[in-house]
Amino acid sequence: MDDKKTELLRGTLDLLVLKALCLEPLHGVAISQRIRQITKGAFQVSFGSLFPALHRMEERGWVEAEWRVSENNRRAKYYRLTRQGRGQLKIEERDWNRVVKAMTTAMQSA
Amino acid sequence: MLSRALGLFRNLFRKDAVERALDDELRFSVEILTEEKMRAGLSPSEARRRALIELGGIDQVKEGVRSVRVGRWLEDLGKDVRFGLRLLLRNPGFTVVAVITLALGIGANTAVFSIVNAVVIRPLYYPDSDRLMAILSTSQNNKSGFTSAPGVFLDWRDRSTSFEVVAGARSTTMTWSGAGQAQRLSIAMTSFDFFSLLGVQPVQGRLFSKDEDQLGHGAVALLNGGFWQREFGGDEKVLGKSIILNGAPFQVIGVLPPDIRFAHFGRADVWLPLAANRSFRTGGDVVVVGRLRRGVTQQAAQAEIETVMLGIGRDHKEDSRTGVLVEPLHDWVVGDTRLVFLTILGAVAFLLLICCANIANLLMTRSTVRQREMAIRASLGASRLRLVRQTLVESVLLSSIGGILGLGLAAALIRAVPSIHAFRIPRIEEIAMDHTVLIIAAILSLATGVLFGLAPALQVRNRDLTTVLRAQAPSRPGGRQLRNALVVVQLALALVLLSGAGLMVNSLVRLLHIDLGYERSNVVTIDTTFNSRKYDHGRIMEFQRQLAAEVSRMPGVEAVSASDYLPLMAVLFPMNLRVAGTDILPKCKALARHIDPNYLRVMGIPLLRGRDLGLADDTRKPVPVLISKNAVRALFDTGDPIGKHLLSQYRELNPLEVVGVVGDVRQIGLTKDPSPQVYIPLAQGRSTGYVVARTAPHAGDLSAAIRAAVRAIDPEVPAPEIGTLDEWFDREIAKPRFYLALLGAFAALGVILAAVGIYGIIAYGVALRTQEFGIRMALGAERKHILQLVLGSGLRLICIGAALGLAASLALTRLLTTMLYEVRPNDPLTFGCVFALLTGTALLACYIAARRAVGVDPNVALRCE
Repeated sequence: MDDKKTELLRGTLDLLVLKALCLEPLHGVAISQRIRQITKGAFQVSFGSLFPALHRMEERGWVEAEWRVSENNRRAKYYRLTRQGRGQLKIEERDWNRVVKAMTTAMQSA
Repeated sequence: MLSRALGLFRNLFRKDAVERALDDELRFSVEILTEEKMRAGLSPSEARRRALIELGGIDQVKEGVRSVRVGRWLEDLGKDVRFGLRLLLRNPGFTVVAVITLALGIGANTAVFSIVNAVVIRPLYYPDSDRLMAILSTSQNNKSGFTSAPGVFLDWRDRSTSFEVVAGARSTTMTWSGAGQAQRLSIAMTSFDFFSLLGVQPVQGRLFSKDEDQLGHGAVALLNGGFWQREFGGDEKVLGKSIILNGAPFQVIGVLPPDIRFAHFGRADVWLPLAANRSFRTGGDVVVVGRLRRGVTQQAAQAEIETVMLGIGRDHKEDSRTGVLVEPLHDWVVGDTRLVFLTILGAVAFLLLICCANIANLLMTRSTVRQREMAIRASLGASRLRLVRQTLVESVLLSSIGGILGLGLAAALIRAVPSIHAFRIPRIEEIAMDHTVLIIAAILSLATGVLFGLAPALQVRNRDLTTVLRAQAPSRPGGRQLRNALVVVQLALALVLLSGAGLMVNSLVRLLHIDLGYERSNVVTIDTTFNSRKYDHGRIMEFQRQLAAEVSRMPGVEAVSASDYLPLMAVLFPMNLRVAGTDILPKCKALARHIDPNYLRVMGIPLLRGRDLGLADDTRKPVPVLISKNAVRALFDTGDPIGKHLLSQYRELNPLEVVGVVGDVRQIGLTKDPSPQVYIPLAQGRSTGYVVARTAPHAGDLSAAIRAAVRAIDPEVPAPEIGTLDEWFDREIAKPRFYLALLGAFAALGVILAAVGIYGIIAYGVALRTQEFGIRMALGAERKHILQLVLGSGLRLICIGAALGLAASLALTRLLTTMLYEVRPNDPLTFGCVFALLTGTALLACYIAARRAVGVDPNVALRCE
């Protein structure tokens, strides 16, 4: 079941992560929870995909990381959107909307 | 971009910090998930277990993160290389065998390629070399073109409009006297503009002027730089002085670079003006080279000069049947060595393929053993791509080490090339390890690495860990088909090489058993051709007989004589003979040779009828001659020739009286049938040549004594070249011998490698089936049956391989046709022997491997593993 969800997420994972981070900096587990929350539980991102994606985005400069003390008093790695990341979010949102519109039109035409 | 560069830097150089951060991040994640689960009411240990499951395995996540990092590729490569090196060091036996095999394969290929590159591929190094053409004479019998007469050369130069420059050159030898003992020098004679074609500038002085290149004016000389250093110590004062060549003075006007490259002319000590004589119109040894005008094609030049030739033929009747051929100078220089070297290149390429197949097989055997390791690595998160790359890195590592050693081998081989005396290799001085060769060697190494690494790499599969680990032994060897195919290919390639070598052996044996018509062993030859104004024919004769008398007194000498040419020298001096008194046929085109008394005895030519020539025949008229058996057949059919008179086209000699009949001798060449011969007393002709002496076997080296004798008779005579008839014969068979040595070495290596290959695969099969054999024997199977079982599987491979090889050989050995003598390239006997040799060797290898199967003790076999 999980596998199937991951398949569905491929390509959209970056967008979801960027979206989840657009309000405030979060650590990895919190990002995962935020995604579940904003998709109303439809998507559950596996950590096996989430962490590589975060590190990749960090190297690309879309997010930056800092070590902070978490709510339970532990040192945690928080990810924050950079300016570049916000730009990327806009691009990905626009692309996504375009795809959705196209797909919807296509589905309705049949 | 900057962030990625920083990332790369961090990942490569601050790896520990990066890894520690990742650890911290994941530990924190596990903790926070655990706390969550505990809040939901789970026990701490259960909460932690669930958290780890939710995370999906810390190591897998880590591997996932690592794989997206920048520079990951580079880092992995480094790791793979280190790991590969460790593996290679851990299996020194395998590594040494593989590296040596590869070094041989790559080294031989690189060496042969560097020769082919220098000789065949690279353009000639003269300026505008693509426009340089050889202009050759042709005849009805010889369409391939030969050197031209001086008069024809001058007419081409004057009348043809297709060329910017038409230059000519010929080579000869002259006697240099006036500085201690006379020396024989090799001389190049060129027209004045020849050097501009080659782009050669003098290092001292100047080149010939146009006026100096006129008949009767050319008393100037250029010295080769090497000769100048050797004989004059590089003294500039020699310019303007005269040197005496053939008794005439030549003023030295310049010094040339020591490394002039033009066919064999590069070795000339002194260069003189050609000063071509327009009235010499037949025969001739002038090499004519022209540079096409810009925009003129070879075809246009050919058409134009053919028209010119027709005009020349109208003006000079003797030229009316001469044709002309324009071909790129490169083709003329390279000649038929192109085919030879391309064939050799093909043979070494086959050898390299066999090497590759062999190592691929070895690697596959190993990788089957490493299945478990691969499965474990795959389950720990290594992607298939990563594992394939690891395998390829290992094989390329091997081939690179092999390549580096091979380069060393190639350098040594290339250095040995000049010592090949088998035949003149054109452009030999250009053969070197240049960057093209280095690049090719690098490509070869990489390509072979990938080629033999591909097979084991394809075996890498993301197998299910549990199946692999549960299996007691790797019982289903992966890629068995592939390995069998590799062995089959190896056997087939080895057979192709072997049949090439077999044909060469066959051909050489026939050459060695040719009946020459004379006894070639224990005959010393002394070259007494020299030019000097002091010596006319009579005085040379006198000198020769003086020398002969001296030599006949030396220890171990049995008989001494003299002649103008030696057998196998391929010098034509045809005489058109007919029987006197019969104007009608039969006529006979016989080869004339001038000989002194005792010649038959020295050469071991049998006297069949009549008498030998003697001293009294020096002046006797009519000129007494000996004729060969086949000349008798042509001229007299069955009648008795003794005492009959013959007429030739040389009126001053006519008539000739037959006094004896002798056996046929191969004069023109080893593989040419003996032509009819007429032997004339040396004293009655005008030519001189060689003093020949038959010695007792093991008579020792007479060279020093002979040179001393020459010096004692006249110090102005250059030291003669001393040889033996055996050497002349060896020169004739040097080429086939060289081919045989080369192909033989390749074939031997190929067969050994193929045998090792099939041994490997059978031995491996036996090792895998040890248990099975144990059970079979425990159930009552006899050793014989087990042996049959194992040999049967080997035999199948051998038969397929040999059959394929046979088919390929039949197609490929046709390329050898020109190198073979009296052996057809599909000679059934050779193929039969070769087939038997290869299958026999391979079967033996199988048998040795199979014997281990029979030696299995059922008890041990069943308990193993």
